[in-house]
Amino acid sequence: MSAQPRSLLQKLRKNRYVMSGVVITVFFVIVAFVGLVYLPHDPLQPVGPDYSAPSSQFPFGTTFVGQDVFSQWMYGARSTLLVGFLSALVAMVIGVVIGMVAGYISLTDEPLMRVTDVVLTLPALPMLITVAAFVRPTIVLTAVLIAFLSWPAAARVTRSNVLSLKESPYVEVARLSGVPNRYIMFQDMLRHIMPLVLALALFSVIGAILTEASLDFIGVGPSSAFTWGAMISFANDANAAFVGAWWWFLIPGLSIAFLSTGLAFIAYGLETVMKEA
Amino acid sequence: MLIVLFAVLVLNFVLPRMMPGNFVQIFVQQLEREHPGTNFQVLSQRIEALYGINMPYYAQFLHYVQQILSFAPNFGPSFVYYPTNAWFLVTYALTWTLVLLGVSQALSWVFGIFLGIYMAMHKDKLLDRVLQPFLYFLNTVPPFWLGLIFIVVFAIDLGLLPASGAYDITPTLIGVIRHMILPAAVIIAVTLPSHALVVRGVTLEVLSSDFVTVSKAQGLSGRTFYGRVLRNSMLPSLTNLFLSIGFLIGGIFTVEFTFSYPGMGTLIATAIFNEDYPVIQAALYVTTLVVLLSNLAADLLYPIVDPRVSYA
Repeated sequence: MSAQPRSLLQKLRKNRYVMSGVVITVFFVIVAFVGLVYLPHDPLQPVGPDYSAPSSQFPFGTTFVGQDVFSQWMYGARSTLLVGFLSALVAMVIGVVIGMVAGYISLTDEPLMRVTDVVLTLPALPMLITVAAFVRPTIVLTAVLIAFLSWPAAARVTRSNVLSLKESPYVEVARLSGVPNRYIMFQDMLRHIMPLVLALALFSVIGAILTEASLDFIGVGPSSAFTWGAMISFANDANAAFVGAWWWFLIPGLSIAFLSTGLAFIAYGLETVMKEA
Repeated sequence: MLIVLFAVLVLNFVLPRMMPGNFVQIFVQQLEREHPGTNFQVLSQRIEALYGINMPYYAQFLHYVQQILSFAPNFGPSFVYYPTNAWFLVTYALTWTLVLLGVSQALSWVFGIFLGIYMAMHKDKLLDRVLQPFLYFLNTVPPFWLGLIFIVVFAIDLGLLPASGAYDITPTLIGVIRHMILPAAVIIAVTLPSHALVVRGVTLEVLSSDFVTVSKAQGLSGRTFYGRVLRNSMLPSLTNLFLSIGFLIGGIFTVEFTFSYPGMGTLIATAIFNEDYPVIQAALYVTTLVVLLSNLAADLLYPIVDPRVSYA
């Protein structure tokens, strides 16, 4: 046996799924950041002829009032990524804390898991649609609301792992030597389950992006933000499919799908590597 | 499960009261705008009575719950179709949604099982290696976007199938089926991956279990062997089928809206466009009921499919 990869990072680097996922994700992050400093045209102003098909001047064509779809695509990347990552971050924090407490302190296990099951059963998208119909939220609030309905998966996984970790020798040693519980929970154990949480977080990003896009499409998207979902929604409202302006919605939808696939590849890769370890 | 229903009732109760200003006034203004010439005074009194607006909050809530739990549940009149009760609009739309949901999920589940078992049996062969990333990709495609693509390709360019609605001028069986093909195809395409991947994972576990080794040693192959594997892989995928409905139903709503299918999704989207709040509330309530019932069905079906599970 020669050159066995030792650390997790080295194993990840050898995993084809992880590497292609990273390449895809980084590409879209770069698009979003470039969009912060440079956009070919003003994304929200008419800059060309209406409904012009993709050309060298407008690589992704124009909308029904002559907005540049390419600029909109670059501009929409930042809000889409923001919703995804912010929502996943909040969901993971809630989920890990609840799962950790439920798993570590047996007295809280039953009630916390009951709450988790209830939230898991709630039909998330219909609820978000209803809430957004009454109080039109901002993009940050949208992300937080999505997180409030998507933490149960993280809570469950964290709890089941904590339950088994609790019995492991190193935790017992830590407890016997008087390490405070909060250090055991949020440093020792957290470090152990971090890769799993990371994989869940990536799925959570995907879910949040799709959910936000669906809200946009139904007509209750965040009012002031411009995302890829909003682009598809505007295209649908203008009957772009029926007049044959496929370029208006093709790219934003494909981008959501490719970005999500990239994130999913990393997550699946992480899970496989974890299982082998 | 009742807690879930209670949570949704509370949400429905709180939301109008969170709107800026007096929601009764907003509702009455909305009604007036949709139906100019109606007697403002009478309307306003009816709405106030419906929500018991002059009572303390706890009494308002009890009154509200009483209205919802009566038959037929009273969510108030739809603003657009005044004076039709929002409930009737929702139950009509629900029929179409359930038909679409039932047909697409039955097909998607059956295809998913066969695809999953096939992939597991031929693990790491060419088709499995190609299909896996493709299914991951399909799993993340926004359903409504796929709907738009299908409209462009199959309805506009090829002119094969109708792009919107659920039937021609009068509903005939053939017309209904023709209108259902595209939306159902979209839903099948986006839900097939999760069914197939779940079954693939389970089947791989089943294939490494003792009874499979024994069956192979006995020289079993062909239909009997597949039958045994299928039976053991079915339970988790059945759970996946029913438990995924809560997650699925939102996606189905967006697909319906894409195809202007007269189901809940289109109803909700138009209600949002018209700010028809009672319809939005009734729709959430019904959706929750459907999700809860499908969860219950999952629990009840377990012992039938898998004799090892029993609640006795």
